Amino acid sequence: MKATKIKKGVSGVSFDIIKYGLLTLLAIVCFLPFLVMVSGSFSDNATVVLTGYGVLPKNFSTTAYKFIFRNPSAIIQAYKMTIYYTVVGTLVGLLTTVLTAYVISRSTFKYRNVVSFLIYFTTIFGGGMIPWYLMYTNILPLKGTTFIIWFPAILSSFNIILMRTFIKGSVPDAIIESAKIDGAGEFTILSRIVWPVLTPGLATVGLFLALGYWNDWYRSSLFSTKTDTYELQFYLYNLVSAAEALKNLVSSGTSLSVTIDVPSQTVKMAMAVVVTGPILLVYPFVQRYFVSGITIGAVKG
Amino acid sequence: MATVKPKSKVAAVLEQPKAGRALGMWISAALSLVCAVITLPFLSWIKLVRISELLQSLRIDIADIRLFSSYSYFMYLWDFVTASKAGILGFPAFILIVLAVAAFIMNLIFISIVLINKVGKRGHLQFYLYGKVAAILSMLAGLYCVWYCFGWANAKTYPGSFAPTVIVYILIVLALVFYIVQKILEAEERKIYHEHGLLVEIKRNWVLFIFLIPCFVYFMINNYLPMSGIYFAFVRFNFKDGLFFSPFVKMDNFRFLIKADLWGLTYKTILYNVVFIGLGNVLQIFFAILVSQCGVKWFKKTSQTLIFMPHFVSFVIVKIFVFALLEYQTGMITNMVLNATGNRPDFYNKASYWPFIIVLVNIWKGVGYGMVVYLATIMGISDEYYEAAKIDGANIYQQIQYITLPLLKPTFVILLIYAIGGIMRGQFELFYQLVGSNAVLYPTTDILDTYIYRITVSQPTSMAYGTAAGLYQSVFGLAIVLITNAIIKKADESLALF
Amino acid sequence: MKFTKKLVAVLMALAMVAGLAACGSKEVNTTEAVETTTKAETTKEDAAKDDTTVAEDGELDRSEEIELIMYFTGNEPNDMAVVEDAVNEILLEKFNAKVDFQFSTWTDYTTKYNNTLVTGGCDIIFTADWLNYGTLAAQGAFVELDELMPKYAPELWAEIGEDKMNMCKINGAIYCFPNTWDEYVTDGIVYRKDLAEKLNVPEPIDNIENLEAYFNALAANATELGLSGMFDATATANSVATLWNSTSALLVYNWDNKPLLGMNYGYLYNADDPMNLVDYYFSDQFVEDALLLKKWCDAGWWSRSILSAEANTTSLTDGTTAATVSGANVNKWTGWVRDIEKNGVEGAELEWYEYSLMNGNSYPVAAIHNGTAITQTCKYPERAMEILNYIMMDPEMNALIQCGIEGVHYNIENGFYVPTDKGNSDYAYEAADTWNFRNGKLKLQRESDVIQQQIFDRMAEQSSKCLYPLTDVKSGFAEQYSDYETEHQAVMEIMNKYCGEIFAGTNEDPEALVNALRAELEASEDFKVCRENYVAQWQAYCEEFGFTASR
Repeated sequence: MKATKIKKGVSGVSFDIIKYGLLTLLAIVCFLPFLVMVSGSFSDNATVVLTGYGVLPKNFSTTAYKFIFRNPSAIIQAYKMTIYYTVVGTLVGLLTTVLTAYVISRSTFKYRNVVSFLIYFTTIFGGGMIPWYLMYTNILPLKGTTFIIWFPAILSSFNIILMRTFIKGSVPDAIIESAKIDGAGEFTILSRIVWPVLTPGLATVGLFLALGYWNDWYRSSLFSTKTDTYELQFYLYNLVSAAEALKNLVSSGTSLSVTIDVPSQTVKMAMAVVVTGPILLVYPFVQRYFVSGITIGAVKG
Repeated sequence: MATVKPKSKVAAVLEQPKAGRALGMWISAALSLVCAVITLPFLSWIKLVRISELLQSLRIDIADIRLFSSYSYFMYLWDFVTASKAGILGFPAFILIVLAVAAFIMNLIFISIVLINKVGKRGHLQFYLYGKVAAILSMLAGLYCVWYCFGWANAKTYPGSFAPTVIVYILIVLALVFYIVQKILEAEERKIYHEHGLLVEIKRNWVLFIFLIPCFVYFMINNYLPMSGIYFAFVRFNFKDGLFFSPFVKMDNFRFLIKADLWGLTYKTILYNVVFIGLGNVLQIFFAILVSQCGVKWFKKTSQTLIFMPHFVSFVIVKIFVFALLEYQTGMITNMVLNATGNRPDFYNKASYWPFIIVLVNIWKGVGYGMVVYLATIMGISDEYYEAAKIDGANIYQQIQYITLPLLKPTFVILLIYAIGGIMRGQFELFYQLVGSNAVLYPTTDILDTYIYRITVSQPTSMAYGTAAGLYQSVFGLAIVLITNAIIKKADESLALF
Repeated sequence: MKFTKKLVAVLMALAMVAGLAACGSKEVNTTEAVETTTKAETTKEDAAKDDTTVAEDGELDRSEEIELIMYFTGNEPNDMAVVEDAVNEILLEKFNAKVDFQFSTWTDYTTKYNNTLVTGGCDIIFTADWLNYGTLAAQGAFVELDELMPKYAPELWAEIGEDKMNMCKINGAIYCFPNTWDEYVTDGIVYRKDLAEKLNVPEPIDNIENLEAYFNALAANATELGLSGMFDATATANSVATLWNSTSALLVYNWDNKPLLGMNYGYLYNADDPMNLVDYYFSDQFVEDALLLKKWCDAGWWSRSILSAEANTTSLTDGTTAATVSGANVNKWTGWVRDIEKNGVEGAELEWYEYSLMNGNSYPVAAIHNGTAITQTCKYPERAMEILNYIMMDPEMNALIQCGIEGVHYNIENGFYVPTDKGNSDYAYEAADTWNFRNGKLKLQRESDVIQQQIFDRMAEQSSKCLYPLTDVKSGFAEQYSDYETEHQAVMEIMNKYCGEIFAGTNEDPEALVNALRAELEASEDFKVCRENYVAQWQAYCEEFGFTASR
């Protein structure tokens, strides 16, 4: 931003020191555990358990990754499916979120508060997991489909209301009214006037949606019936939970013919790396919408 | 066009605004009052016919139940259905109560509006809306009761055993009259004030209604229809009768909450959340401003990415790290403290450390994620404001104080209301992973969610307890949110959520 | 006005929910309800009649092609579809029926298992005590087999035998049938023989002195030996149960050959006098044990932070711990021996020693440990039963489900099962976790089964000397606490509060802690209610099955 190019006063300099100092500190505190996680994933499980984690890998080993990738086609399939769910879910989600948020942001829409309340109400009251599960498996027989993995997360009350705030903040009512007087339909207003200036909001909500999809394992856990529709997170999670479940089962006395030998701690680290990696690659592209301002000249017109 | 005749008369009265308004109000209020009285849960709505046969087929011991020949809708569910253990009678009867109570409350609201007589310039139409809703609900309750007696309970299992009392029919007729009166009054009033109703709104803004269709479908499927599961809080589940038809057991499933240290759990849950919300938001705003003010682009980008990273470290891994830091013998922090003070802190056997640890971890994990919203909002602020401020000689602190912070307020308020709605729920993963089943730490770390989890996890079919607890959290949460929203609305209407 | 507006909104929401819920639930449940109510009535009164009407026609009506969903805990093997097709080919021809194998995966399996039952998602289901067979059966999740099974699965009924079938009774009716393979999962200790020799500790570890010597020596030399702990003991599960398992396994030695087992409301069961429960919480033994556990904890046998420690599934096999004291059994041990060799832990030699060698308390696995049940929502219980009979009794079919297709997934060499490479990766031995379909006579033998069988024989011999030979007395019992669930939960909370710390030995003054626990329990009305009910149920159980003798 141009802000810093203008002559700085004493306050400007003091502020510089504060902001760079604090941000550096926070960045280190936030990054360090992540670094430890990555090096942990490349360490030998026994060594880590024995001597603890470090910033650098201890007794370098790729066993954890070998364990995760022992079935490469499955994991590639899981990546594919997760990308599919994320892309479809985020796009559909963004579209429906903006549609809804646009309506309830309009001060000329008489029932905006009722609708807002009904949307918000869903975050407070819920019937629990069983009727929800019943809805998707018995009333709508969707179990096992890919639709059911992305559909339940397209809208969230939080995203809608957040988007409403963004729309309200970046498009004054006056502009919409004047456009209406000029004869623009709702759809034109939304696509030509609101959408273009909504980029930070879209990026934010899109990011939240995408992260939600990327990190989800629960819906796969409940609804996937075939291995090739698993979400990545669930695929990985299930590798470890199988080992732990079998271990616990044995303490309740089931005799099993298989033992699953999972280097548990380092595998958990490696899982996190495998899952996070792609996001960190994509993130900078989304990030520019948060770190550099956009021209909102259109609004001032 | 049955309303043609009275139209002119009513119109004539209404043309003298005060008298017309008053007359319309008092007629409506009287009708409403009668409806409300009828929906009081003391009047008998449901009559038992052929009692001995019915009791026989329900296998009820006559001595077992305070037997009446007729019941109010409430006592019917509370006494008769509970004693009969016939779950099939329960769920629809529960809905009858919901309808009747809703009708009763609506009527009360309507009457109080009339009594307070606080009608604004164009408020009359809102007033009639309440009237109509009250009338419709009353009518629905009555009709539903008739359907229940003849349609549901009879046809399914116990033919010829139930009948609605006369009162129910009276209610239906009165509610219908009430509705028609409202409708007429409203139509006349509309002409005077040039206001429009739902149909006109739909006609005028039909595109907007179409925009809402996906949202409607989604929330219906995903949230509103499954809400019927709230009923599970009142039944004792068995497989033979199924989810909605297991015997009704009144408030039995709530007893475990009362047995627990409910106040302590609630208090801890709220306190943690208050700290999370307060401290979390302050830090998120603070760092969002810092990042936005960075001039060096690479630094800005890198620091923001790095601060976001903890979001990707799952609580399972956080737990591993925290354990590695705090373990008694080998923990890094334990040893640091040992070197500094000569005492080895026993983190996992002393509860008093944990509020700090949990708050720290939560803030560390959430600051980057929460920051994004604020950062996006700041980026939406026009540069012109700052330029103008600079020309006026404002320094950076003043710019933040007078431009950035006020413009962040709407976002902050929305996030606040959201957070407050969840104030009765905790960050389950955070507490569960960090504390696990270490009961030594419970005095400071046990919150409602972890307690409920502990109770329900050992149950094969635990929805009753879980739903009951969820209902408690929901009702409490709703109350807090309504209060918060009202306060905010009072301060600045445009900021409120609804 | 503002307030009222909000109220309106709330009420509208409520009304909306109510109205819609009515419609919604009607759709789901009216048919089901009619069905279930009529079903309930018929099962109550004329279950017998109902069955005979089918039987009067002689053969079952198989004209309709049906599909039965079978539900198992665990992960789906890669080649499940292939095996399923092979199974269905046979079943279609013989029974005009297909089966669909569905799996819970191991993530959140209990939740999903219960969801499936509650929503009627399957017809045939694996069941076991660790999946709450008792509670679920009592709630009516499964079809009664008392008459169904002798009629439609007579061979299987005869094979299992009425005695064993009766062990599956819950409230007087049979709801599942067990597999027909007697296995022993007696708990034992697995330890590093090589380390014991290196440290000059007396061997075998078959008494408390040797045990203490072994672990003390390990604790003293932990760093040199490269150990992160002595054994993998954790309390990560949701209650004191896991920790109790770990430590009680150690304490078995301390009980001077008193075969005490199990714990509910502080009661232990004495294998030599099942009827009379031992009041462990209020015995001196409890204090002694608490002090001993503190001594062990202080000696560094486990971390002082154990109450929040995480389970480490591989610590034994990668050489960072030197024993497993609970949850080990013969099957597991043979697996670990393989794993530790594979991991290349130098000179490692794992030794197995079952606790029953010392206390003499040995028994084959309970009947309800690997059971098969037909769910309440199954539309064709008779045809399901007949298919189950075939799966259990037909050698070809049984081997197909358990081990896959011969020649593709495995070969028989010298009479032993040998997996192919494809079998190893896509359909291993019992890959579908169909432990409930094990048939002792048809089970394909593996080479490692020989050693295992030797130890089984040893255990069977011990078991035959027990008061009730070859019977798992306590596992047939499942407490039914649905009538006092709230009280049960309250007592569990009290126990949770103290027992973790007591069994972890981390408190400075265990005796005071024990006394505090006792005081709180004694003051609790709930505790009395629970204990009374528990004892009554237990004694009724003992009387029903004739476990009334003592010695």
